[in-house]
Amino acid sequence: MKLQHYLGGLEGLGPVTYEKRVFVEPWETRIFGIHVAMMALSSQLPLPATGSPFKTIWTWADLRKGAESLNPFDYFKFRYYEKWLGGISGYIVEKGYVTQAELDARTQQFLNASPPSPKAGADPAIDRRINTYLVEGDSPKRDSAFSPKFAKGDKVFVKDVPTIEHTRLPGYLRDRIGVVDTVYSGNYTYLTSTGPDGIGEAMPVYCVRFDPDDLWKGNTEKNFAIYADLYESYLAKPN
Amino acid sequence: MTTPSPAFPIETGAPGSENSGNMRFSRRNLLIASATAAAAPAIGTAALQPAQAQTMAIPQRFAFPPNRETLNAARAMALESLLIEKGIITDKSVDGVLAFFETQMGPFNGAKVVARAWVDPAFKQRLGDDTPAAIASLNLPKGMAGAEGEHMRAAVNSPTLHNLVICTLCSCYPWPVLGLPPYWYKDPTFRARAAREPRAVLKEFGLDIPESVEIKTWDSSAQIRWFVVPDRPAGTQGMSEADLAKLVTAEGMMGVAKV
Repeated sequence: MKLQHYLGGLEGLGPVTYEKRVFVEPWETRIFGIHVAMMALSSQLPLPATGSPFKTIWTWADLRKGAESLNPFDYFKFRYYEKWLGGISGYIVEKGYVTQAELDARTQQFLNASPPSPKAGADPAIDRRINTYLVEGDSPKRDSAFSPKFAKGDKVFVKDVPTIEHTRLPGYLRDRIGVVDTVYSGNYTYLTSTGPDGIGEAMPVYCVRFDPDDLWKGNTEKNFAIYADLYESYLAKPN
Repeated sequence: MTTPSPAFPIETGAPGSENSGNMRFSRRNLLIASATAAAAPAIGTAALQPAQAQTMAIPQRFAFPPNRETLNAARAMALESLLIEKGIITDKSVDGVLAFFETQMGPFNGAKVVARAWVDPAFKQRLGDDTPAAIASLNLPKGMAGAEGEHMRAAVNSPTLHNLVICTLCSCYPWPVLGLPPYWYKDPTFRARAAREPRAVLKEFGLDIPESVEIKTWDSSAQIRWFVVPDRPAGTQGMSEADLAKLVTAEGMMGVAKV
């Protein structure tokens, strides 16, 4: 059970920090660009092959899993892009693209203010593919037979699914009852199979409305409703 | 963000102007910055000095290395340098991505969508009913249904309804209309608290939503990328669409500002 899956509603966190910048340190822009490049090069995309040796899958799910696997104290301690840096570096080493020793040695070179000169020469098809990915995206919608179990206005029960490692079910909704507000047309995959948690294959998705007083009885605000987009496998008919 | 700072007034201004300056961190600038950085301890040296350990009973878990940002920057630069060297990406890949968010995907797109909704009631209706089709009907850059915009939905404000977008699980954000998410949106404190006490949170952003106005909060937990269409401010009759667009902020389009 990961705290990162149960953040919604957590109390005692103090005031929000109203920081409007996207990046607060220059280095953060580099890890952001690396993440997008890796998503564009990811092997499951039906995009033209390039000369890049990157042949594995890297999606938002992999980035999220990395952050969700952190010690929850570290999750709060480290800044957003610090978590990206840790997760992406770990993946690159784990998949064998770079060794930890190479990474440490190169890091030391930068710390010593003696970095090697940058090299050019990689395949320009890589940058064309990155641009194509940004422009075309990666839609999870699939053209399979559409037979949603629920209709607009139906009450639905949110199942306490046996999550291991990763989920797209906000924890504060488990075991709660909501009302279907929208049935999205079409079936939607998720980027990875979450195993016993239940998502991955193409399925209907619903926008479900919840009454906050059902979620946090006597401990929330008035005249407000909360909606969440939920995969069908997270929902059941109430008893 | 490790220490909370006081909320400060929401600034209006050209969408994207706050953020676009931060994109111009080219490799060259960063190499220069790292070459002039002060010498730092070797990697892995995170232990407190004995004198500090006596006065600060902080467990190791909650301490940062004294050269935190220098180390972060060196690690990020090292990673990029090795990825380029091994041909995984090119020396232009990262800058190319950043340039895309300066020129093609950003709040400047969303501001145009909102301004059009303000002047054209039929468009506003369509925007709420079929967001992708409405957006596709405008003359916007290529990629409005691209990365993180494949399935967008607009939540339309009115004098009696205020919408707020959150992502309690991570930081899902509608890239084509708003560009990249600001730090407040990605902050676990905002993500946790906005789900349960939106009015209190909005007050900290300087936005007072009375209890008589309904709030709808949208948690982006699946494929949809939500954004808010702010209500047209009073006193803007007769303004051109271009001037109306200048009033719209990224904060307004996620629901933490009036416009």
